[in-house]
Amino acid sequence: MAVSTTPTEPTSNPSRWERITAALDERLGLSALRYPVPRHANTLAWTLGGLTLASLLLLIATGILLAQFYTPTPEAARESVLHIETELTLGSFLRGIHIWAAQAMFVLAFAHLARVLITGSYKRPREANWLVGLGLLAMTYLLLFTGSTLRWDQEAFEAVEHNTGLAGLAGGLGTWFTAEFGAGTPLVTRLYLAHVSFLPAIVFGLLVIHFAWVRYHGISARPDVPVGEPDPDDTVPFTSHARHLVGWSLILLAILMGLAATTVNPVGSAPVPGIEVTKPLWPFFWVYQIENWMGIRGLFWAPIVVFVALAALPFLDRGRERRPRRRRWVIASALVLFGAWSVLTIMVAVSSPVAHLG
Amino acid sequence: MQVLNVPGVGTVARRTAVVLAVLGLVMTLVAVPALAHGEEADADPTDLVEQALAILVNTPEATGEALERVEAALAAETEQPSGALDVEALEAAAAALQAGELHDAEDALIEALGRDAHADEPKEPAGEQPAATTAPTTVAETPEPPPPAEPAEEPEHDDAETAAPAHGLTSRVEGGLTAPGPAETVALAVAVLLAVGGTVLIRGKE
Repeated sequence: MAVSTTPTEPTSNPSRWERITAALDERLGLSALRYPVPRHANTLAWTLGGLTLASLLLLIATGILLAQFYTPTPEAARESVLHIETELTLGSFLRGIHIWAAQAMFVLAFAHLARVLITGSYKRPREANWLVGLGLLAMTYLLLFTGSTLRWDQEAFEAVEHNTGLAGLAGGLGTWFTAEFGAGTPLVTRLYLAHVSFLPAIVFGLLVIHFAWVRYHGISARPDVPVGEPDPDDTVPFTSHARHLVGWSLILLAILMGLAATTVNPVGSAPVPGIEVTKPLWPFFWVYQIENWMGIRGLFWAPIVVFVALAALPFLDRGRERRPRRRRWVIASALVLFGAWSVLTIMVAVSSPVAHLG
Repeated sequence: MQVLNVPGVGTVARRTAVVLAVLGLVMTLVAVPALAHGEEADADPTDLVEQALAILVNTPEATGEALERVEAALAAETEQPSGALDVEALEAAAAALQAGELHDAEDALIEALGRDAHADEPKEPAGEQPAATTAPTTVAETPEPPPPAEPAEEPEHDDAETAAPAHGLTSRVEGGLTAPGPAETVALAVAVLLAVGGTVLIRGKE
């Protein structure tokens, strides 16, 4: 049975609470949030995108606090992180939430992508939103990368050296990543600016489009509903979905706080050029292993190939069928891709760092 | 292939396979073999010692590479003394590395650079955390290098990216599990409340 999504009709003798909510609604339009969404939107699988946003909001909040104590210069960056980690009251906890939330955002974004892929939610008319989602995933990677370089320790320095190599392969597109661009402004300062200004700005721009199109097309139906047919599922007001999302977000926050309170996140030794003795953050392990095999060009091409393949998906899988069992080649390809990613990640996790740059 | 025989998607799947194969071929053609481990140890002796130190700190299992650099620095310093390194300490570092005494080697390398390995006590985390919370946090210190006597000229960009840190070369925080201090315990209690609140919201009536 569909739940009413229209504002409650005023009763003849409203209570004080009803009068307050009616007054607020008249001014703030809160009842507009009671638009209908399918009941399955309240499952965890259909909440993963919202949880990714919750992680981002948490990252912004903790990032603003951390920025008060961070100095984005080569001389002082690592020292300021050491200060946050070892001297600032609850600094280690705060930094811990930021770092764990970043990894949570990465995992949740991929889980959301997997849900969309498995349920065929990228199909007509949502192809463009799939591409926007991939853009958000790319931005997540860039935010992770820039964030991991801000410690300006040996690992960060080596990561930047790799990306300077990548910049060379990218030609003019990679100019920003070279030390020559903006000479006088150190690279770590520019990475910090990217991390806190234009990358988040791009993310918010894409998010606005992403959510606007979700609102326009509606939350996708369950996969047993073919493309173009109406969703037979019951509806609930969006406020119910929002309440579930807030509930899951609180649980996510609790998990992150638990992790931050019981773990210490490392800060490496001061950067020394001419050696490669560290490995990157685990989300980059897969490209690191490809670089082990193919050199810096592998590091350049592998992400491009994966993103192009993912971007092509809605234009290759154009049938009306959305059930995973009827889309075997898509599911098989996704499993192969995920399997390869897992194997590469594990290979790097259990191996020693390898030098790639001459 | 079975997966390519699904009605209606066979052509698309074959097209995908062709596209992926072409992309794979392009990747293979443009790829170059990964470079060999490490780079030629022909740098400045001081750089070599700093590299050896960084190798010891970050990959203690790679003592061979650290030893190579120490020996190269010793050879260079013996051949053309620069006075920038303490040769005696460097020899002690080489001996310690050969004996597998990594901590002694680290100390000797710091001394070879003209710094005092024992000048600072290890740093403790902030707040009122008990000693237990510091267990995984090891911060070995080298002292702050002396400030320049007069304002230095604008450094080369590469130098600016690796300017000498005030906390010293090897100061670091090791990651891992830790016992929560009082403040973190309060945070854990709050986390439990948040989790309960979240569960109530999820399981509440429509």
